[in-house]
Amino acid sequence: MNYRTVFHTVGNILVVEGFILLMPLILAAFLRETAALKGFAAAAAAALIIGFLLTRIDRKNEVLLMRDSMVIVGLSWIAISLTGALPYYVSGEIPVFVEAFFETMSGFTTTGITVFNDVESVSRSILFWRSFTVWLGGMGVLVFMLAVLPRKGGSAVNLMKAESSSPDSDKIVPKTQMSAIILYTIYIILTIIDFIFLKLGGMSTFDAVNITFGTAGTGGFNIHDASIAYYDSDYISIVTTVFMFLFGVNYTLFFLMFTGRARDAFKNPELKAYAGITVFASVTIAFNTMTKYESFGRALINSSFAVTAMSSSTGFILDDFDVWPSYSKILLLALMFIGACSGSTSCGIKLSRMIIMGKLVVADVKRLLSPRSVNVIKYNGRVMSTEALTSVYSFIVMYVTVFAVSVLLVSINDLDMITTVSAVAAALNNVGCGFSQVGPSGSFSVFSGFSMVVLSVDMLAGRLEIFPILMMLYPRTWYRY
Amino acid sequence: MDIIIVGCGKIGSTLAEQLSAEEHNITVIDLQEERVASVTEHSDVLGIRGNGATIPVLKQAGAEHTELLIAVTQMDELNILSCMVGRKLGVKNAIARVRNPEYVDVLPLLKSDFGLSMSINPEKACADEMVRVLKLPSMIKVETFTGGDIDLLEFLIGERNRLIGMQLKNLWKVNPNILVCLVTKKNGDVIIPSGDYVIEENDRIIIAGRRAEEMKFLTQTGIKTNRVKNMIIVGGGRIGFYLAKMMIETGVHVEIIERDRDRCMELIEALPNAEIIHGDGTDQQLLIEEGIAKADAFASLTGLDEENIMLSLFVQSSSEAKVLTKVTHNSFSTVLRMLNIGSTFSPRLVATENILQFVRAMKNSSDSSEVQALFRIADDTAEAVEFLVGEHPGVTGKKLSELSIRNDVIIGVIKRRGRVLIPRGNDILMPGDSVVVITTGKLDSIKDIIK
Repeated sequence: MNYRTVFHTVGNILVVEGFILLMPLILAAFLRETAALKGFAAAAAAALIIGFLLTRIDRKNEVLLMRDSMVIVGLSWIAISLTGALPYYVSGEIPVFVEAFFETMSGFTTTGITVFNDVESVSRSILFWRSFTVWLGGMGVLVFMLAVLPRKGGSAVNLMKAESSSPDSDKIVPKTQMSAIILYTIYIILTIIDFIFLKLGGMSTFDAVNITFGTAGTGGFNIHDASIAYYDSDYISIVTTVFMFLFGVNYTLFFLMFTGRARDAFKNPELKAYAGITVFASVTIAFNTMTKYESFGRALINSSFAVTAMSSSTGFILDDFDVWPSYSKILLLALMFIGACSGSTSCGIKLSRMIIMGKLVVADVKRLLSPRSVNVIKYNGRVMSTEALTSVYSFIVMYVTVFAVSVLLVSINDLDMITTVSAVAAALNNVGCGFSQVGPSGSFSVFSGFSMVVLSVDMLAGRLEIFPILMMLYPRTWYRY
Repeated sequence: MDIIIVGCGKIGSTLAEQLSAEEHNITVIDLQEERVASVTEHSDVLGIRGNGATIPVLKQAGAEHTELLIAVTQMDELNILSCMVGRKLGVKNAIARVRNPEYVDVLPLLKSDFGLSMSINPEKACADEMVRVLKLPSMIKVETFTGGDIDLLEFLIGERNRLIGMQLKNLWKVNPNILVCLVTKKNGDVIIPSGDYVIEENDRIIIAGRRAEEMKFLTQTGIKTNRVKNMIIVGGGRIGFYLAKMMIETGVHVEIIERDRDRCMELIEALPNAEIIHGDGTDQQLLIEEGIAKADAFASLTGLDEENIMLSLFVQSSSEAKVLTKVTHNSFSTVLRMLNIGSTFSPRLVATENILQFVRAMKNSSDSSEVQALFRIADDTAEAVEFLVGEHPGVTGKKLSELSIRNDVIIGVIKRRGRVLIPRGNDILMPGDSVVVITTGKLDSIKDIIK
């Protein structure tokens, strides 16, 4: 491993985070929230000092192999979560450091699980920082760094790939920095549009900023105990539903649409599947829950909200779906795992992998029927190479394995089965809302410190798509070369 | 500039790496997934798998807003087709690699009727380069500026050279029309020398000036400039053929040693004035019999780099001949330099250089910048740039001694109204001058030479 360049890059990220921390710091000063101000000052100082020290390391060669990039991504996310936890801890809003770390990790990984029991009493600058971590983590911290700091050669693209390894996410234009800038521009434009729509619905600026960040990063931190239901407005529910859906779409497709190639975008198999599944799930759940609401329309508003909140991994809540019939709950749980499109801010297994998986199964069945038939797997008009197929296979296997092991570890906590299983699902898929005790009316503060660490690792593994975390556990990764 | 490169072979991948480092937006196309992957892993470029002569693939690569398409696959026909299709889709310029000599007559037609901007034949370009170097023996490398008036020569200061121990500021006593502008030390350090620099043995120095003056300088300093009369070429491949053909045209007696009987027959048909020997060129006895000791020039051009290097080492030790070595794989250039086997040539590098030259010139003409030509010298560690000086208050119209010129820059030669002069402290840069500047840094305009 190229230790010097790895640490140098992690240092760069910390410096970037340090400067970003100045934003909530100014807000805290403006709102005269002294405790929070102290917290942000400590965090910014820590990030900047450690970051600057690391960037003093002299890079002998700047070339990063894939493994270096993976380690950089893993270490960076841990480093920014450690420093990003300081505001909560120093300000005293979360007195236990493990819980503060958990909250930050939950923010950056766009999970949206919170340990706050009474979120409305938390100071506003802290809430802003919490929502901002979601927004930043949504598109990716390294992508942000790539957009801001120029980087030569092929190393940059390795970093970008390491942060999002989905099969269908690639550069949009030849230059990595330009791609990162385009991605962030699309992201910012969509965020601003969402904000304007929410403002038009009569939401206060502070709420609109937080809800927009939560929607854009598909994190879904609540700033009111009742989540979106607090606003009691169909307009806001529908706007949020639409934008949760949009933020689950591959950003490359937005780029195609903006550059006048909308027809190519609509041909994308993943988008078709995403739209189809969303409509199917919304309608059937609406029928399934019709008896609980006064009209089918009302049921549809609630069901489509829950469906997009789960599949886009946002985890906002409109109505307590824990009391819905089993069919609805099971479908929602399945949607958590399936997730939305690759190359979006959503998490989970991603539809592209599910589609490829499905085609593999069909091909295997065909081979059983006529053993000599020759098959290729095509996705989006391209023939998939064996390596690409294997990586889809192994990703899904690893995903399920990590899930199973985590459930086992969390079960030591001795909570009921649905709580345990859905909590791990909510963390691994970065949804942030489960069933039973961790459902819409519950809280993750029921878990022990050990369970929180397990869930933190799950969140990170889910957001970074497993492999960077696995790489870090593999001894040979750390060998010098 | 947006550039599409079709074919990720040796030339394609080197071009992608170089051009993307020069801030161009590169899209590479190749049929083989692994080759695309290996390029996109090493350079910041976009890769597309597919046939670069088909409309959907070129459209996906964004042909309509592309300034340049470079087709360098293994197949001439595919390259030509790819350029034609690309041009029809809106690509502004197209370069194709066409190496089959039989297509030589087709090329003008392609240029006039199908909008091909340039065709490159790596083997021919390599042979051209060899001929240029042979015309100036003892030289390692030659670059030509301002339409052939100014040359940069690179050569090694061997033992017993009378320049050893001389301070550069005293050099004008030997020849006032020559400037030493770059020194590569034996350990690989590259320096822009000041007047106090003392020349040492084993330095590789680059001089600038008119070719005639340089020749005079070389005779004065005791570096031989004998004309080549006899030449032995081992390996009768394409480069050997082109080289032999050009050398014969200038009246040199050429002997080609070729292992393959059928190829020998083809060669004797095509080159009736050459002497074709059917035999193994790596056989020492054969080389001695064929008079290696008396040859003035020797080229090892077999298909194997290792064989070429060994052959050149042998010839270097047993004769006075100027040695040319073909080394296709350039991964170990530093090791090669330690071996002292004279000039090495890689068809792929020469072709890449030529294309890069074209791209830079194209970029400069589109930027309306003052750069006329640009060469990478001293193993890519320095650049020699030719500027057409524009109106720059602060640079033009002032005595050079009054300008605070950067330490990594040296003004080599000024060409003013057909006269070539070596600048002294009292000289003044004037708008309309052509200036060759050597730098180990980077220059975009003549005004960048100021600190």
